[in-house]
Amino acid sequence: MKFLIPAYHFLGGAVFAIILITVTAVGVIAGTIIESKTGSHHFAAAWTYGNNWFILLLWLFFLNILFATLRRWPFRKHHIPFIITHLGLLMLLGGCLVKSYFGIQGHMLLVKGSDNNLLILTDSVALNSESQDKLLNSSWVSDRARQTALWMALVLCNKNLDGNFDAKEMESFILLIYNVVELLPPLSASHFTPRQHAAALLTLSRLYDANLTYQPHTLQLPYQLHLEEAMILHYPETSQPCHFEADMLVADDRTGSVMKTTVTMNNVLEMWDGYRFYLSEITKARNGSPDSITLIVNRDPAKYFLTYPGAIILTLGILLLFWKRP
Amino acid sequence: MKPQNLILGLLFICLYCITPSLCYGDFNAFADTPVLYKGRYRPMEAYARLWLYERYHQQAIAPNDLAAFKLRSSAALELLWLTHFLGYQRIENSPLYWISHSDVKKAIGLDLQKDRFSLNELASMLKAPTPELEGTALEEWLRVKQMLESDIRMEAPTLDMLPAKIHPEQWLDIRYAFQQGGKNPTFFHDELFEHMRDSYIALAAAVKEDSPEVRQKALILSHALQIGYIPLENVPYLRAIGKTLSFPSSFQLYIERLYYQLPLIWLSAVFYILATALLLFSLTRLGLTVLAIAFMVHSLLLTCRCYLLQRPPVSNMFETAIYVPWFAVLIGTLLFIFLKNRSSLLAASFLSACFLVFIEIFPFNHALDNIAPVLNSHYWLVTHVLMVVGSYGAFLLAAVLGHGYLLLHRSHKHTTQLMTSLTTLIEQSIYIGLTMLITGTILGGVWAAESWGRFWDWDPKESWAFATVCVYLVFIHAFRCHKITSFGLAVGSIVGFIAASFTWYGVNYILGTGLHSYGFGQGGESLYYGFLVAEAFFLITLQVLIKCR
Repeated sequence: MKFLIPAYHFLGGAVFAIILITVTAVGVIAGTIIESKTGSHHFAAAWTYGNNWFILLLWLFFLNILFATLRRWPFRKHHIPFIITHLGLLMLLGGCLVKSYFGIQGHMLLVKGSDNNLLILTDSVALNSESQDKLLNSSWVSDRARQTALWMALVLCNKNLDGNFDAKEMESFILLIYNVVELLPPLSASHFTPRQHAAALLTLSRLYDANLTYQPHTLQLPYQLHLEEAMILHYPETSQPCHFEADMLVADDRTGSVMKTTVTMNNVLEMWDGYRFYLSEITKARNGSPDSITLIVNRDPAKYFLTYPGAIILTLGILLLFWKRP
Repeated sequence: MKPQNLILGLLFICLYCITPSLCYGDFNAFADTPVLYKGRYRPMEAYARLWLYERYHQQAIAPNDLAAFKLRSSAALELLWLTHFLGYQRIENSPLYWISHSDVKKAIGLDLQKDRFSLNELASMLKAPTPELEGTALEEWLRVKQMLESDIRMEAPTLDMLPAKIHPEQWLDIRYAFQQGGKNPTFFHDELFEHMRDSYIALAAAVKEDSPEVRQKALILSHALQIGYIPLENVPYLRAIGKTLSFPSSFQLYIERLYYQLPLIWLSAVFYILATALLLFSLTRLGLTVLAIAFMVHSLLLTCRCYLLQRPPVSNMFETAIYVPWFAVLIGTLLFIFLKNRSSLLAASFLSACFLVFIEIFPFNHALDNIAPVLNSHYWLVTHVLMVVGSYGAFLLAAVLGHGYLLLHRSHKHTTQLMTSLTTLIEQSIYIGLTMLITGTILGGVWAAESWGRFWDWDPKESWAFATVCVYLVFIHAFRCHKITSFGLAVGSIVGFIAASFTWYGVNYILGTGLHSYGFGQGGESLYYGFLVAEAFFLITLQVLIKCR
């Protein structure tokens, strides 16, 4: 048990903090470069901020800050700024972790004159097959095996994006990996760039005569939203928009109440149970299609008791740190 | 130096800077007359300068080109009105169009030594297919071609000066309105409209005859237009939830005209240079006086933009590039007051001079423009954006002080008193910057939660702000825990500023991805890479020199 005390001091020490901060900074910077090169936020997130190694880093940060604070025990007056700062950081990190596990984030499309309650979960993705192809639906492989085999096929396809790939070779490869696939870890859709996705799906769709698509998961909201009017105001005699505004009816399925409301950019509709609706985009009627809007929908259960208070406490702590050095 | 001599010297500098920009001509009476351009009602002086800048890349005609343009005055306003009455045909051989990219010049077969070309010289461009150009060359080709096509199609510049009858926010081209065969399509009553039309026709005739009465006729028309505009002053023309836009008052138009005419950036840059020199030679009292004047002129510049745009001036690269050195001077002054060390003032004055000269030399968009709907929140612009951009000023100050420390470190074997005081200044500047960046970023998270529905999503701007905080935290933790010395902290101030500069410039101009798209732009990449190489060279050379000592 002797190693526990040095480990405790190391985990709560400045050297460990410096290592963590450096690794995190490098990871985050890499993520922005990947996003810029591929044009896909999800792809970058899958390799960096959304990856398990990054979540592990966040947990290690949590431990480092917690132990760094506990190491100051018994607390004295001059420790107050340090403790307040690190408490704020802990709360912020806690808020991020709670949001990532229990929060909801998505968007929904509303067409003028129609109702909708289907939330598209932006960060999720599932492979969808509309084919009755025997290989894809054969009973001797599990769903997981089928998915994984397809992912492996994608990997192979992506090596042959320029078209020089052998269909028979591909088929035998997929059949081969079906037999060992249960041992392989499943890959995530986000591990491929949008261009790779498109090329690989097209290849597989041709090979198996199946319509393979990626579709995000959906969630039924307890609200029915109805778009009455969508309006874009422009600066005089230009096409530059200066204001977005949408009139909606919001019916709560649980209480049966109906509310008429107007959402604008920077003016979010927040419901009693924490759902927030933000007007993201307005598409005006064109070629016979009616006006439509895109709403960003969000629910963060930790916002009011962890994230926001944590932000205030952290700010206060930093101000105190600056004012009075520990 | 006697105070009287100083005052006289400063007045001379002011006059020397201001005089060339106050170029008057026969049409100066229109300087404050409102005109609609790119969605804003501006004084005509501003429109003329922007119209000329788009083509000629300067807000006034160069003295060497006056003969080629057949002008008596270098004022953009004069050229605009003459071209309005006489058409682009009058200046088809004048070097109006600015082309800088050599590939574009080669593609058209132009003289590589020249930067400005006439309509006739560029005529072949209109018929030619788009050549195989890339990047900035292609952009320049398309920009010039689009402008040429527009100018040829319009025959003369439009002057949207007359509010329409039913929708006064829509303004009509003065020539179009007066050619409506007796009908009055404007907001003005018929009598005034008739008077305006007669004045316009008289002015047009005077211009065509090159009569000496042009100035007088211009005065009559401008007076009529200004009288007609009075009922619209401060009247809202767009009302929506959380957004109201009004016609500017005459005073606002007057201030905007002065804003364009007075070279406030040059003036404050000259004073900052002078203050730097005085502080460098230990003339502290004089240096402080000149620095205070420079800071006042700098503040006036920012105040004008705030007043005219009715928002904080931090919505594009040009505005932030003015605000950052201003904030650095503010921080430098506060540090001087509390720590009694004039090095902070010297560094702040030096960096402000460099920045303002840089802004004037390189082609930033100086125009007063409208903002994207997502920024329609003064509260968040003030809290989040001012704090985050302000932090770059503190980091910049720390980086300049860091350079100073490293140079001293190279020339002294032992730590001197000045080096110790510089360490304190660097540390305090980083603290101020970090406090502002972290607080501003958190406030940005709250704004993002209000606007985009989430507190944090690793958007590139957020990610780089986070990475910048991380870089500074690494050096601060290491310094406070005695893992590095003052030398390391000075290096950290430079490395940290490189990260901060990427957050500020790189995300918008190099990465060009993410939700902060309203700030995206192009240009200056090679300069930025040059800055990175120069910093790397400085640090490596210094390290080698210290090792060889």
